[in-house]
Amino acid sequence: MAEVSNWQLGRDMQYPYDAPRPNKQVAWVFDTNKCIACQTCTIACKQTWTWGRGQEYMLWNNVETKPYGFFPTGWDVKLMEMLGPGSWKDGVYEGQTVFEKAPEDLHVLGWQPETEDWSHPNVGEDEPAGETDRGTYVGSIPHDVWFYYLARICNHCTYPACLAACPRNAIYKRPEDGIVLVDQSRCRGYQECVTACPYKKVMFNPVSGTSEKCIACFPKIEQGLQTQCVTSCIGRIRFAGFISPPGEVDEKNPIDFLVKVRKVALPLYPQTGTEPNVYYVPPIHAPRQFLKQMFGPGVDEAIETYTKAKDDPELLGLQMLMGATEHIIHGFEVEGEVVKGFDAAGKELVSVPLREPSFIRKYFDEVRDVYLHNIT
Amino acid sequence: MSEGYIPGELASGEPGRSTIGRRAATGAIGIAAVGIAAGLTSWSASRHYDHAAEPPQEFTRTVLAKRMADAVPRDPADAAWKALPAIPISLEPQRMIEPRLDRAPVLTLCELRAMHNGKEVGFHVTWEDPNRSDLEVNGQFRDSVAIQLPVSPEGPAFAVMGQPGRPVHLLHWRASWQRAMEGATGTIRDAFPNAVSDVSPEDVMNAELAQKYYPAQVAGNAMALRERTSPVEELVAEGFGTITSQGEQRADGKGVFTNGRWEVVLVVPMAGKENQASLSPGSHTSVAVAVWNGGKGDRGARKQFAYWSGLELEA
Repeated sequence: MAEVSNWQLGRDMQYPYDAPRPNKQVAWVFDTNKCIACQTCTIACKQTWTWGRGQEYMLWNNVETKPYGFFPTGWDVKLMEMLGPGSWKDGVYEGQTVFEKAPEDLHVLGWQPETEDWSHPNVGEDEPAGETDRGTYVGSIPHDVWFYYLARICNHCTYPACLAACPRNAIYKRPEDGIVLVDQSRCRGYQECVTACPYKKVMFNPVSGTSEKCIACFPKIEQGLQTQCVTSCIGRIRFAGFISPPGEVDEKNPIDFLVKVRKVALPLYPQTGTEPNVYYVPPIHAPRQFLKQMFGPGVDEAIETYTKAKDDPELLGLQMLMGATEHIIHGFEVEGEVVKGFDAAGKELVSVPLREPSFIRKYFDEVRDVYLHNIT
Repeated sequence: MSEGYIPGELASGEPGRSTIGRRAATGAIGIAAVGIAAGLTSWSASRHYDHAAEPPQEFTRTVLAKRMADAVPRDPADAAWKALPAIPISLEPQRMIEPRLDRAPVLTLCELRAMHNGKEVGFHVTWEDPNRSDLEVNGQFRDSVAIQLPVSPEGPAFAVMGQPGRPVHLLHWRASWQRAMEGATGTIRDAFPNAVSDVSPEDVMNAELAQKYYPAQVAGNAMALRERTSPVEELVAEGFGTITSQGEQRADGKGVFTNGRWEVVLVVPMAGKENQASLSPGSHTSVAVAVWNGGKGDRGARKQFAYWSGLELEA
């Protein structure tokens, strides 16, 4: 085991390899508040990458309803059970990671889903937590009856558990962009990576006899384009780009701005210790206790900042840039009422108004004596 | 732990001979570096290590490969096999390197027979297993057995997967490959007979284009072959994590499961090229066995194995 630095945990931790950070690290921001679980991302991914034989139940991208939706079944409940309670103190995680709590005979603490666990990607969909009765009215935030959608892909972790667990070194992390790949010529289908990945984002293909996973649409990333799940998102909830290493911040980089400057986007279950690189804007309406378990101690601050976005031109501007271009936005700038996105060379990719023109009608039409459903 | 060359060579990250294990040893890509060395830091079974570093001069057991006039029968039930004495081989759980076998051993013995006809050498292995496990799907693993021969009989290689510079030649029979030989469709329906699936690439595009959706197959990964001609794969290894499919596949065999017992025959030509054992009538070498109980989750390093036994090929 080597000692590595995990900024999400606020401390060093044990990892089987002395793993230097890649030259660049691909990262995403997903805004859970805007996701409607239309699964367009899921289908875009599937149609692009996983419609071959043996991939019938393979969804590199999936959208599940929290708290009762899972793919595979119960993945995060089991993860929490395995890791056990772990508290945060002043931004430092005091519990154990999947590496630190690994059994003696393994590098990573994990569990192996059954085939059936992969067979119900829509389990728990739209299933709310909390009790409802006839006439229940949900009128306060956070809601006491609630659910939200969690879109998930491989986190292309800085310290991948899949890589740590592979006895053949068939999994590698690319130095040029941090994308984590299973070498399809080396993999011999031991499924150790499936067992180890805390997010259960490596899947076994029974026809190829190998494990497969999200490849971060690397042919697109290599051309400066965002991934299929991002560019197909009709809710425009996603960004794909690159995150600066810990201790460095590029305030003009959308990912850095959301994760490090405004800190509205948080890692998913950072307590795994893998330093996942998909960052989520937590839902504003779900119970904070649940959200802190899922996204760590930054939840309160993230939601407070996020809910004031209308008065924050840069934060608002980035929301408007989501889904505005297929290209990776390396830099952005707000000029008056317009936000602009730039490519790596500083060339303008797109410009979008901060606010769309809108007219708000009265909710009651006095002339026709009728309430109106849609008042925008 | 005594001073031996095995961990030193592995930990130094020096590439083994030719390209075998090169990536595993040197971590040519990304941070998948020095995995072998890292694994050895938690090396715990010192007695196993000592055993390997100083192999006994006399093998505790020698298997005689009887010379036959006829072809080596592939059928494990063939009378020619049954006429040979079954040599008991003791098995141990693999607990030297992660992932270690984390369960109690289910087997203490397998039985080995061997014969040759001057051109081919055959091995007949039987062991008890209450369940036939021949599917490889999520969370399910297959029964299998491997025969290991040193590429060079002088100074036996490390008994588990060899070591850099001292490769071992492996014959690996898998129950899932046997199943594929006997009429599996290579689709999801093998695991789930009533499964319904949508159109797949080969249904709507020419074979060349459709191939692009099967990267493991395109990459030449033996695991991903659609049509199997043998249930036995020939491999070479130069240490943990370096197992590599042989370029030319010549091995043959057959496994039969009856009444809680596997009987498997593995046959390979005696003449060998680079990275293959080269055997001749009257020669002596060594042989080792490993058995996987798929129903208990065995795969890869999670296995039960035997140390070297002597192998004598009748003149």
